[in-house]
Amino acid sequence: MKLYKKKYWETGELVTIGVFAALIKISTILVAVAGGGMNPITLVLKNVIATSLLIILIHKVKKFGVLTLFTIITSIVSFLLLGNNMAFFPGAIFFSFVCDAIIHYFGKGEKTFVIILVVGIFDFSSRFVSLCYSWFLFKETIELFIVGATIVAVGYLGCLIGLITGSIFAKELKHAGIIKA
Amino acid sequence: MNLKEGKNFVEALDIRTKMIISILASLTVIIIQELAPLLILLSISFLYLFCYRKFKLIFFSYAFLFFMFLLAVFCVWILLKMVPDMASRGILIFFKPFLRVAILMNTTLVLVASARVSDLLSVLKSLKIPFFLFLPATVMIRFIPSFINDTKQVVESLKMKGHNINPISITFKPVLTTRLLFIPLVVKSLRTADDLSVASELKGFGYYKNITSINKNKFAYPDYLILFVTFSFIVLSLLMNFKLL
Repeated sequence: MKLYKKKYWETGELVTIGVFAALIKISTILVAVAGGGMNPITLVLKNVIATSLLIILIHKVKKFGVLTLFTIITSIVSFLLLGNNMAFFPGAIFFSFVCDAIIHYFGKGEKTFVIILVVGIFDFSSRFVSLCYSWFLFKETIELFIVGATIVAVGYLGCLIGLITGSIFAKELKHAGIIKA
Repeated sequence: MNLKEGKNFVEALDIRTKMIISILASLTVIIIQELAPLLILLSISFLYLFCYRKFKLIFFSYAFLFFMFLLAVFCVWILLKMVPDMASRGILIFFKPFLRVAILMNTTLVLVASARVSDLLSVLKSLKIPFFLFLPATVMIRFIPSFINDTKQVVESLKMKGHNINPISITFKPVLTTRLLFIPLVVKSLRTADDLSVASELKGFGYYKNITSINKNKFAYPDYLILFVTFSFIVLSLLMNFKLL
């Protein structure tokens, strides 16, 4: 006899998404602070960590919508706690939904190559949306925008490194039995 | 609206009012291009921040913004050396982006500095967002302090082993520092996630129909008043921007 109707999102999966969202936010802030401000090494490093953790999250919660849910949660909490801008919220959700659809269509989260590729696209698209908003802010002085875009591009290098480290990390965690293979 | 607890006018506003003001500001500043409406919005947003009466916070925030402005001026100076034609466009165009940033800073500072965790959770409940959004958001908000404590413990244990986490170590030994700091944190967070999942499933989270709240968030008269003032100034600045006034 079934007491309750089974829901799409299980409580454990929702908790995992929340815990990872907090971990990614805190660890990136921590590295940025520990690096002493405008440090190119920490700029790359924090993106390496964030991307690696995102790959682990997708390996752990293999369901359609995990990236979209992660984006919504991170945006709401960052807006309320850190004052992040909500103007690029719709764009970020759209791209995360597209990335989710790609993961689901090609292998339903089982293929590591697809996950790595999609996380790379997701990181790129989230930066693209942020830069679009920045362009509106700095439209009179495109030169300043280019300086900012260069810094973002350096950060994206960290994401590309994070794709490799994340997949190695996920493999280790699968081997240890912490993530289901 | 509870002014008896020693809260000032802005602090006592409903957090949803502050959220609306912040979102409206972020959308308006990207539309406005003229200097005069930007200055009006900056003045009114500064008044809003000033009413919050956290003068130390205001001072340090503006000091940081000024530092960023100086840094940008330095970048512009280098660019002017490379592209001399830029000088003909005047210095005013370099000033406008910072007016926009200052407006955004004024509105978001009030929201972020006055929002307590309990307020945020009650707001999430009052927004009647679905459970699949409410639970991870609550977990995230509740566990940020816990992760900060975990990080402190890891840093202290590393100190005892002779590894100091500082800007020098993270710059010159980034891989080692990351390994030492993050492997314990990730493993601990995975275990925390599992423990919490089991605990929340045992408590039956997600199987009740309505989320009830002790705090009833309701808009009060000052909330309506400040929203009306905000809308009025936004409309005024937009009319000025498009030369309709």
